[in-house]
Amino acid sequence: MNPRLHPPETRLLDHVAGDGDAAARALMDCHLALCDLCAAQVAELSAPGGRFLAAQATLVPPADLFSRIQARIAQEAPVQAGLPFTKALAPYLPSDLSKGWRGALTPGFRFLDLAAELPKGIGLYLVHMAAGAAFPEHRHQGLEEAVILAGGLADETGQLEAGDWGAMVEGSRHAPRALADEDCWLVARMEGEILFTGWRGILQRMV
Amino acid sequence: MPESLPQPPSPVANGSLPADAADGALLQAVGTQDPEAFRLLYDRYAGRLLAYVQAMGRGRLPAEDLVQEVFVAVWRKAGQYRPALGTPEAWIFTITRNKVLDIWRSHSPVEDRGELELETLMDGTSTPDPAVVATIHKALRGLPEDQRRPLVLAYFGGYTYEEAAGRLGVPVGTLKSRIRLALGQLKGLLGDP
Ligand SMILES: [Zn+2]
Repeated sequence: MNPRLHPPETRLLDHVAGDGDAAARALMDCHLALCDLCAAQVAELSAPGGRFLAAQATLVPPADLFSRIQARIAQEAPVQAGLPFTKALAPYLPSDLSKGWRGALTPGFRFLDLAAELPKGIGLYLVHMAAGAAFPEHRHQGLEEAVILAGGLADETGQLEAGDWGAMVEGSRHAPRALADEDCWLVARMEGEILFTGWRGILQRMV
Repeated sequence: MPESLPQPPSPVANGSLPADAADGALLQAVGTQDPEAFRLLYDRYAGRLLAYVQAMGRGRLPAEDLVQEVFVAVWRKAGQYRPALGTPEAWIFTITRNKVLDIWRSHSPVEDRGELELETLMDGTSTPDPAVVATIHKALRGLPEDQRRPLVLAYFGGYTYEEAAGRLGVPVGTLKSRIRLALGQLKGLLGDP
């Protein structure tokens, strides 16, 4: 099984050439965990880096470096296990996944701000939609890219399933709905806010 | 095979790895939070990572502090490693360069010490295997200048696209397409690992 929808090649290049923010990297890690096609491309593009590292001289690290690393790891939140979706997102998740969820004017929909260290104006969110839940029509004020982690959703443009990389360009609008048989989890990178259409939009502009 | 959903913990038992286990097996064991595998991986990579990070050396932070953060990232991300993503060295290289760049960006402004040269990034005098160095040197020297410089700066050297493009006086789009071309060329020049 391979996803049907892949990131643009420029995103793969950004990933191997270093110029992606943490949100782009989170999406790419999740897609790569589920996609052999893109994994093979990344393997090829990063191979020179591997050869280069293998050819590095060996310096002697300070004697206490390993214990410093151990101390740093002890301060970190443990890596999440037992997730209902790919573990590739685990390093980006907070230690307590039961807290911090917010709703958005619609039943069966919640999202968690993953607030990684991101450049200004970029957001990273984990989204959970109950099976069959609908999200109201909205317009994107900036690029939104998302990777479906589990389950799937459908909108006017088609259907996305686990591993698929979806993109909504600035100005586009849609009304996605989770597929009926399974909860949908996705991770989204947002370059702008979303604006609801109709009465929700009027409410949104008031607050 | 792509990762299946959801996945049970891998059956690698702590401490069951031989000292000569392959790097890929070590990484996968580190992914199950195996401390002994992590120590073995550290022993194999710390010296080379230190050399690489020191050679990039534009930041104000000491190289060992950066290497420390690289190993924290490896610890947290090792569960994602699978052979389809590339060799363990390539995977660790990508994590390293990305991590160092992230840290530099969060500690702006980065020191600019001018153009990074291939020779600075690869000191061939003290490496364990001169043949490996010769191969990659030859391959990189085989690239046209206008492909090699973007690659050395952005891909190996940890410059952002904007920094590298500015230094080379080309638009970012041009820089990216040259990096892409260079990586394609290197595939032929380096052969299989
Ligand atoms: Zn793909």
